Amino acid sequence: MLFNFDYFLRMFQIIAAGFKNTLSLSIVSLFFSIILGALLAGVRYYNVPVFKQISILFTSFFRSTPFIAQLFVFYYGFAQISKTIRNLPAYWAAVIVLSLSFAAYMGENFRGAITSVDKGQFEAGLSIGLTPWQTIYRIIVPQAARIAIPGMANVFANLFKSTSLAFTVGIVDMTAAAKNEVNLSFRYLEGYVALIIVYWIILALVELGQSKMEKVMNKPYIQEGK
Amino acid sequence: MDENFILRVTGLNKKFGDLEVLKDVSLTMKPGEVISIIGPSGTGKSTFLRCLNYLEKPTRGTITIDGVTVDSGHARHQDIYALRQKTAMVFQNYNLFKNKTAIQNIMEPLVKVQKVPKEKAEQEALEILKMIGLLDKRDSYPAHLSGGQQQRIGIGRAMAVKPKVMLFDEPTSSLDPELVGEVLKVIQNLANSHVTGMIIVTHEMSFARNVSDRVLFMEGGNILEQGTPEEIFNSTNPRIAKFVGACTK
Repeated sequence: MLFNFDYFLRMFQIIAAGFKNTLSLSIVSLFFSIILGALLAGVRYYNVPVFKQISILFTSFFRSTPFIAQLFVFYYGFAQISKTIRNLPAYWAAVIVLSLSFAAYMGENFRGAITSVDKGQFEAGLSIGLTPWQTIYRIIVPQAARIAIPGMANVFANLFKSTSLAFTVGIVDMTAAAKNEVNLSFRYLEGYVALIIVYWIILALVELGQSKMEKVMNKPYIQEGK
Repeated sequence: MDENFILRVTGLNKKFGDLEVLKDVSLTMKPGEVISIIGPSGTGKSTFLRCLNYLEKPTRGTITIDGVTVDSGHARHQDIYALRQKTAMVFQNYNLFKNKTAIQNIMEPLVKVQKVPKEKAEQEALEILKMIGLLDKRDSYPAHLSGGQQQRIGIGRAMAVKPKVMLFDEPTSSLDPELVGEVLKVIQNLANSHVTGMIIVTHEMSFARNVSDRVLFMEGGNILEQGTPEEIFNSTNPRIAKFVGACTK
């Protein structure tokens, strides 16, 4: 038989063994990339000297070099010169490089979102006596968040897929689980088609959640009945 | 000099780069006084207003409002916040908080700046909504309101600040002509009550004439002339007569 359907179905169970690692890598890295991305965007938007230049350089570097090369330089390259890195579990090495790399994209997305909020909103906040900080988190951030959601979902999709490269440093994620299996069975078609379907379903669900969220968040901003 | 003043500005100067937008403007205002500022565009009227609450930092000059004095030479953050709580601004583009409903916009200065308890703030906000005739729009977001309604909420939010001086920066310039009336009516009612001082930058000449205790004519970063509406609108100064004539045609 050209396509072994039973084996194909069994693959999902095998891939499931790596699900936990894929999920935790992506969620933890998402968390750090959001925080770091917000900092990168903040120092650029508010023109904080030195930090702004660092932010520009950081963003340029991580956006313009391949993720897998970043990972190898960090995990294998730095290990030659640093004992700390040598002793670092592969999981955390992957989290660190994923977080740094995708913070660059998050930051650009956040910067666009903040810039899109009318400057008058900030002035209005100050004019009623709010402090700049109060104005930022009560007025600017909630409005920017709405703009940032589609871009964040986009970055997350790329981050989620990039966790598949973690197998190169020995982490058993979904991709590694599938790869290890088909290397023994030589049933590449069944194995990798099953893998692709799992990624697709998960990110399709994320997309669904995103559009639901957008609908709710857009409601105050869109005229009804038009 | 008259000591009963709520606002005193001395030697207010503002430069953007080499461009001197305000040239040592001075002004004294009585409590509850209604002042309109008229004059051609680009002569520093809006910049003057925006300096009064430090949305623009003056290059030179001292501002005193209700006992709070800020000198641009050594303006401290606390003083600037104190000054801003003595003033409120109504913007040309309304600038309502787009992520908040009408009543939340009005409650914001009450709850977050004056620290009024929520229930009491809501009562106050409802009173204000009643005054501006928008009680039925309490839970509407700005995007769901007309320009005129948004600007009335903008005035309501400014009222909630309980300012000593309310600043109006061309409050009707962005409005459809048919919506100008409802906004002017709200401002007129407020002006007639004289509970708060008002400085209104406007191009609505007949409105300025009706509503003001005093009218300033600004040109080239200076107050060229000031006086009662009658004095200004019947001015013998040819520059002012020409401007007023062109605007009231």
